[in-house]
Amino acid sequence: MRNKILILFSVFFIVSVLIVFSDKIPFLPSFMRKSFSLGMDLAGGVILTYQIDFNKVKNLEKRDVLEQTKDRIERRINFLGVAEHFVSFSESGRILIEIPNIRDPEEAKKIIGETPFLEFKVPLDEKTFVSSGLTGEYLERATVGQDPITFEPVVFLSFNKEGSLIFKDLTEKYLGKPIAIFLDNQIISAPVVKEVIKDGKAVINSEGRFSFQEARLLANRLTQGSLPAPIYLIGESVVDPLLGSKFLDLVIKGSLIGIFLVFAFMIVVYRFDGLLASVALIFFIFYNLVIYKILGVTISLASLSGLVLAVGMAVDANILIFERIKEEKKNKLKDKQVIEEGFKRAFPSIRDSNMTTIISSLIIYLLATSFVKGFALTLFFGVLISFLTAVFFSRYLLEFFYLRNGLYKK
Amino acid sequence: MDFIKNRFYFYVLSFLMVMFSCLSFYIFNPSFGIDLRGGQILEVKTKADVYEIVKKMPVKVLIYPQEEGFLLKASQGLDLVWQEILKSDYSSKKIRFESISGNLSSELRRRSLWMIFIVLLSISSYVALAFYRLKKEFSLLILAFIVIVTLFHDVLVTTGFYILISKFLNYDLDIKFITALLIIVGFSVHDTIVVFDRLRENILKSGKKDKEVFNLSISQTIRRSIFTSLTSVICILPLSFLIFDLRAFLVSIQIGIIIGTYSSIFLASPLLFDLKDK
Repeated sequence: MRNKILILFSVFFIVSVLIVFSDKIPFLPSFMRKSFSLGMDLAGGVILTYQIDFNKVKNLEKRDVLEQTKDRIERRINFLGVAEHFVSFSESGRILIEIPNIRDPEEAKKIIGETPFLEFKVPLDEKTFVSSGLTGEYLERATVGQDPITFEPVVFLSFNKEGSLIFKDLTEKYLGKPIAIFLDNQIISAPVVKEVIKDGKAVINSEGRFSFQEARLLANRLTQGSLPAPIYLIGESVVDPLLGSKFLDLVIKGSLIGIFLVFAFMIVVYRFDGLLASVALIFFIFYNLVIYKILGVTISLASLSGLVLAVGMAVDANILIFERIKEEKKNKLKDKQVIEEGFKRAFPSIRDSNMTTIISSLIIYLLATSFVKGFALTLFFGVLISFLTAVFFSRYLLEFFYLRNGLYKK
Repeated sequence: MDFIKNRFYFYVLSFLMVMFSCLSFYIFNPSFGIDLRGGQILEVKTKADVYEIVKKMPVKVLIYPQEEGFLLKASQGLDLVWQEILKSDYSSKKIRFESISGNLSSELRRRSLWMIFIVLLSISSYVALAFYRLKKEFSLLILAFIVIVTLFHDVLVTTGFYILISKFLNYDLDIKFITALLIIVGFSVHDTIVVFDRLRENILKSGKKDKEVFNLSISQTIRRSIFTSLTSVICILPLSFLIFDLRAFLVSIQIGIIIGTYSSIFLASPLLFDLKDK
């Protein structure tokens, strides 16, 4: 029976090790070779917090505005082509965007937060152009193409019905004169109108101003159009990827040293028992990592410190049991009874001590944001798993070795 | 060691520490983190004369020299500072930039208060549940009183020490610190539960509630309490040395764990001894 349980735990452990290192094993199919997801602080990246301005929005329309903004923002982020991102929206109109591992955070900010302002302007005199009232608002679609003669990238615009009418009127009025296309108040081109355009189609010719990549970007941003309500950047946090990788090395080093210090302490104080407890702790750490991988818990400075603190606290259960066993031994019980009594007596304390931390970390996880959330989550899992390993696993490990070798024969 | 006989020394020590902590708010005037009051942080790697650039700025900017650059803190305008730095040294690198508006920080403040309230409420409920088994031996009101006293003691003294060291090491009072306090509260309370549980066991065994039973119970659990805090403190010690960003947070947890252990041994049980017949 005991042997079976030990075998079961060993199999469990081997599977966990395989899962933890699955991205390093070459012959696994690719869907199994998932790697840990690294947080902003370790991978570098950007966290942007926006607030939707609901001032001009009626209460009834808030939901629609939120939904539309959500949709548009998602599309803008997808356009960035980043491997992963995380976006959350709150009812109050707060938008939190996390993009790890991005090379150019400034570009991200531009694409997410700003809509290019496209405007057609008409000539007042030789040099100055004035607004015609035709803007990007009337656009139905913008696509990228190539000029058949110069092979330069161009952006094709097609207006909606209303826009087409305005455009028709403009081309009638300014036939033979230039109409200028302005983007973000900068003149892009000013082609001369050669005929009245009725179908609402226009072309922005780059004239060497932008590359294909930029033309594609422009077309996309124009198509996606403006947001239903303005958004403001209220919080911003940028971490350089180089700094992140430096932190990754340090945090792994620091965690390992910390864990080894705990092992050393346990072995010095409790000798063989301490060694067993350390083995149980190694199992414990792997179980935690498996959970992170399966549930996609982000590995960050915060979450790793949560795990390391959980290791320090997890030892507590073992200390409680060992101290109890020591006392019960004085009562001249047999080995097996000693362990059983020790566990039985220590159990309420173990339960209570874990429970207070489980409660506080869970609540902190639910209510807090960013850094603190990551810390609380891993601490929560850590303490929960440590409770389970201490109660189920350490006990069998102890009984197995004590009974087999009779280490505590008087 | 006779914990009960010497208890007044510990009462005095705790009283002094609590007084010191209350005063430290006035003496050291702690700075709050940008997450709680809004503001900006900029970390740059640069050869530019940052001091000269900052002098020209209309807002107050705090400068902390780093290994290869500077950490700057201000209420606003650091984006301008960054432009100036880039102008005078083109090879400058922006390592980190954080900006939190007053709007966001006031929401974070509100959330933190909720967090504190709900955590304290749930922990106290759990403690009430745990102490219910002691209802024959002690008055539940007295137990509640002691838990509240030690809880305030731990929170205040930890904050006091944190403010003291933050004066020298430029730490901020931020959400991380609040989290650390809440974790500590759970930690300290469970130490107290363990001692009181042992007390109950010994009272049931001997049928007495005298000094000896109290001393015995404390000395039976003191090793465990100290070892548990010790392992929790040493396991995060290397991280707090190696990583600057985690240092303030982990140090506050370490201080709190030590204070919490102290109060569960030298404050909670002696207080119960004095109040047991009330």
